Amino acid sequence: MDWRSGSREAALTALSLVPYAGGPIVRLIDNWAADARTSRVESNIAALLERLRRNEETLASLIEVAMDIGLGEDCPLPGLRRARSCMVILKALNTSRNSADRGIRRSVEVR
Amino acid sequence: MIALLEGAAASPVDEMRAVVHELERLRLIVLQKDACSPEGFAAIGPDQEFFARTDAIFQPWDPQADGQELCRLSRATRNFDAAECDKELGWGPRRLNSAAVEAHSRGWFRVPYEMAHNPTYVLPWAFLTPEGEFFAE
Repeated sequence: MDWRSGSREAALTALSLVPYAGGPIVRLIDNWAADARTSRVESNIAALLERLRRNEETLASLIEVAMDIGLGEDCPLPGLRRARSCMVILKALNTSRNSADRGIRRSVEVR
Repeated sequence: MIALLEGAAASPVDEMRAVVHELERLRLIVLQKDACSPEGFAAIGPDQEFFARTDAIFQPWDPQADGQELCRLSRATRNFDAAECDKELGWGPRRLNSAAVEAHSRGWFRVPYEMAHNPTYVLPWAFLTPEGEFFAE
């Protein structure tokens, strides 16, 4: 279940690891149709979430596109940016060269 | 870590603090404390179940399915032996450790006492539980 080629299930599994960031997104995916809005950013995210709902989008592209369209202070999905940050750190720790052998007690430096 | 978050937020340092707080609260990471660091820690490391919980996302294997495979291999003797399984499967410690930790956290393996440190395997051996036998089917 690679997060870059996975399905909606893979994306939701990944998001479930960061519930306070990912939770609002998952809820939004399920409730979006009833809460659709009209601004450009929101409609782009709506389209993105719709593709995710139809298994056509992965978490990686979800967060990358979301960053591309500019998530600022007015973003309707503040949790999305945090979810992306969490996934960046999780990936760095999971795939770091140091962790390639035994897979425990390795680290990512702050600076 | 701060460099990884450049561009993700107006303040990468604040973003890092928030992310570290969340991931530590979820017991995914541990902090390596450092009184001299402005953040109070110098690095983050994986918590005990980190790889078992994240490998399915970032690696081309699934610890849950792998854990079931370990159960199948251990069914005949009802003993899990990491070195023997690794020899049989050829996964290497990185993948095998994730699978063994996942099997243990799901109650498929039972470890009767705290084991001495093993440089290669997180869980060198364990007993297969009745639940583990069930999932070996």
